[in-house]
Amino acid sequence: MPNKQIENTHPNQATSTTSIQQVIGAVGEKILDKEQAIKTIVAALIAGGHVLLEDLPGLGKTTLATSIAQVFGMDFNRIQLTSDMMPSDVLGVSIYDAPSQSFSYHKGPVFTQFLLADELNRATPKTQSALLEAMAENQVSMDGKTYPLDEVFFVMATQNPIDEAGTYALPQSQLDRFLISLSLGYPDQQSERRLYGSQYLTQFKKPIKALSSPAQLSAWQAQAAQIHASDEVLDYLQLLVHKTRNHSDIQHGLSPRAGLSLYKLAQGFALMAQRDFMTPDDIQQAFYPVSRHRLVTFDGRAAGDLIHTILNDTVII
Amino acid sequence: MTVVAYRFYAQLNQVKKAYNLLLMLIAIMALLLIIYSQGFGLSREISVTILITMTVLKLLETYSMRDALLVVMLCYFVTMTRFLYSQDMLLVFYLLSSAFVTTHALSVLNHEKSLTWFDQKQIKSTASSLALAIPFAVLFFLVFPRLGAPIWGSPDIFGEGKTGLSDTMSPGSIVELFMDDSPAFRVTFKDGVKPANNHLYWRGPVLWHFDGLTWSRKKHKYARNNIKQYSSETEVEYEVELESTGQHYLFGLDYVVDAPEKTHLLPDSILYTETAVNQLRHYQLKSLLLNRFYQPLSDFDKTLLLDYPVQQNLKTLTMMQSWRQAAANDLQIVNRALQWFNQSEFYYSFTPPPLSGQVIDQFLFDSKRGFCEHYASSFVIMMRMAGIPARVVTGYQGGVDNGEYLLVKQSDAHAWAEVYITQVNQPGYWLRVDPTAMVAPERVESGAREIMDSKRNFFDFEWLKNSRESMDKYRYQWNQWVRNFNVSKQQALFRAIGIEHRDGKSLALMMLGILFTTALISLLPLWWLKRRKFTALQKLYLQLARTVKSQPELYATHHQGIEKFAAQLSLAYPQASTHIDHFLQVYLNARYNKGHKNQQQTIQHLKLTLSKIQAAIQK
Repeated sequence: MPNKQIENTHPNQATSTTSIQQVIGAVGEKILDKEQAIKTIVAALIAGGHVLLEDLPGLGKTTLATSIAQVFGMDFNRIQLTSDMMPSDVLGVSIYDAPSQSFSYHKGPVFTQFLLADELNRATPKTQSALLEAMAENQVSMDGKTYPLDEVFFVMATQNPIDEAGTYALPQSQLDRFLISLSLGYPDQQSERRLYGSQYLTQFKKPIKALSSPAQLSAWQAQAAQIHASDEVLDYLQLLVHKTRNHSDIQHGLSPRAGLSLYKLAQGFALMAQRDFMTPDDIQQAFYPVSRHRLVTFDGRAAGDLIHTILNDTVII
Repeated sequence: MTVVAYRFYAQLNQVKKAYNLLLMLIAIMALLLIIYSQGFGLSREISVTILITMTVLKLLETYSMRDALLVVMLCYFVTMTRFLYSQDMLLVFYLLSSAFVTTHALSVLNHEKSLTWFDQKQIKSTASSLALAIPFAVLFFLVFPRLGAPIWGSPDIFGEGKTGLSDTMSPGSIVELFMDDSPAFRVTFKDGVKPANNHLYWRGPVLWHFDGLTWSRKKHKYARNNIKQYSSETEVEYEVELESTGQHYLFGLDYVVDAPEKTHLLPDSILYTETAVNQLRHYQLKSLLLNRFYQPLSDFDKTLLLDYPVQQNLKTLTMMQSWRQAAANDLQIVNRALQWFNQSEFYYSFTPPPLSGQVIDQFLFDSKRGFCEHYASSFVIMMRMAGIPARVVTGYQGGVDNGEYLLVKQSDAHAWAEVYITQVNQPGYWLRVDPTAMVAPERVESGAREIMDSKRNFFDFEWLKNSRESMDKYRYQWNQWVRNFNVSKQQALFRAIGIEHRDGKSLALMMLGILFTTALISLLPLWWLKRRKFTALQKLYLQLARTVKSQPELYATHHQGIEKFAAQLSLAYPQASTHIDHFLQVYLNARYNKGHKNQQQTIQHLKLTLSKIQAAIQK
């Protein structure tokens, strides 16, 4: 398997209870000037959803992914997807075991807690859908048997928006499997300058200490699911979703499932703000990452500006 | 019809669009057909026909919303064109209902989901939008700059159908009018004094020439002089509202003193207008109630007035020649003729036997049945045969007193005679002679109405007749206030509300102004009802936002969440950040958390915090 790289990080488990702010702060020391992106990814983790990162190479996608896996003390796997990868390269393979005279299943890289799927759009649709099916079902079906994935299972897939030659764009139905989509973008000048300093570089090489644990993440997830949303907030949420369907530039608006995703992600944000109820601000923060990859515009352009217009056109007061 | 049927067929069967070329051909064919049937030129008929045809043809290529809207708009225009023909009161109701249908189509079109015609809600909304339009229509009507005359009233552009009396008279031409109950004109007498019925001779065309069957006018080159009142004569002043006739005659009582504006008074006392009466026309007249009129008669005119078809009606001619020899003067012959009509067995009849060939002989000696037309025409020929210049006068006689005005209907049409009497050493004069009065005196005393009534058939009920007359009262008001709302009335209205004379431009500006204010006034209550109502909590937040109103980069726009706003505010005013944070926490809790609902205590607390924030910010 020539192009396949699998990395395994060994977690050092942390049992102490830490706040979400600390977790974000720890990651933020490695990924400079991207606090909102980190917050959003953590919120997606709390909401139990997967993340699609669309960015140019070298902007810190992998660093971000490893940092988050490290800070949560999760098992981390990374697969670099290529066009000649087979589904078995992701899911695992059944091999005939001569001594026991039976097929034994060798688990693939998908059996982990945090999976970084680099350049997802380079894989063939067959491989893509194998991975995405596993994401949706939280299990792998092979030779008539199902193998459940870890209870905490988080996929962060990346896509390179520029090199489109030899890629297979994800269809809309597959994109919907990702709770959010993000783009990190360049850091600002100050942060970038800091990045080149020797102080940062030494710190960069050290792995982040695990401040949290998958168990705590599960606890947070349960806590987030309890977060209350008042009628007013739900009205606002529904109005936003509705407006994506009536917009003249948008061909396909958000589905009710996307609306539910918005709701879940907003719960994550509310938990992060240490509230047990949701506010319109939570929904505003969640709206962009949830709808960015789901809205289909007429001219095929990214829906980024449109999302902001919709937000700006919707009165909160 | 075919087009509409095709449209339905296409709709049901999802037929593909017809080719553009085919549509073009159909349109050109239709245009050619119109030109073939209506003639070429810019007439009202042709314009309206083209509009209607093209509207119907448009259905052939109506596939998108835009087309459908266009068809609806065209339908409005088609509705409007009806006014080019008539501006009657009853028509308004009909056009209102068609406007309703059109508006309903529009509202159904614009409604996203339900496309049902008979949805009660839809009908209601259509009715209300039409009702909303009414005040604007009234406003436009009152304020819109008015043209001197409507363009469609100009005969140069649109030829009008002629109604009422014409300038020729042939057998049966008046009897058609007898059956016509529609109004000819209305008269309002000054001081409300109505002359006696036998004075109400409304003079129309005067007929000179007779070809054995048809009477026709003489063309004049000069105008008649005005007349002066002598002490013994009664003068009446009155205003006439003449319905559109499409002709040039105005009607006045014998004999009018002078001509109104833009009208010529012809030598035979006819009022002849410069332009045809194609719309409701008002004019004021003065008349002297006379039955004789002193006027010199030229020799040429005399020969004209003594002319009769030769080698015809010989029996009458013989009789008249014998009368001539027996009589001492002209008046005696006139009286003898009237007596003859009175005492011989003549009957007034609306259904006389048809006459042909030597009509005068036939009438006078055989059938002896007829109405004013027969009597006037025979009498004039008799007089001419006896050597007395005479002519037929057509017009209306009498009228119905309809409250504040006198209603003269087409059925009041009448024909009488004028003879020219010359006596030795005295100026010659015209004498009005009505032979019909000799046969049927009630015709002149009480009007054609009474005679007609006995002739009416079973289906002409009394109440129908009465309702027709009371309907005319409304129509009169309608004419007074709507159809006759002209430039001067408009100016009078403006003067009444304190605005002096205006030209069209400032009128238009004023109209826009009024329109704008009306819109504002009518929309204000709507806005008041629809405006957002804020809870006490929301008001507090707005107050907080307003404290930094002067800084647009801080001032929260309505799409921003309060947390974002509070963060920005804290950043700008660190000294107030603790209070802001506190306010934020309490506010969010009260607004969005479970169980907290606008408690008075919370609000008081928030108010206090708010004042602290404001104090801190102002430091």
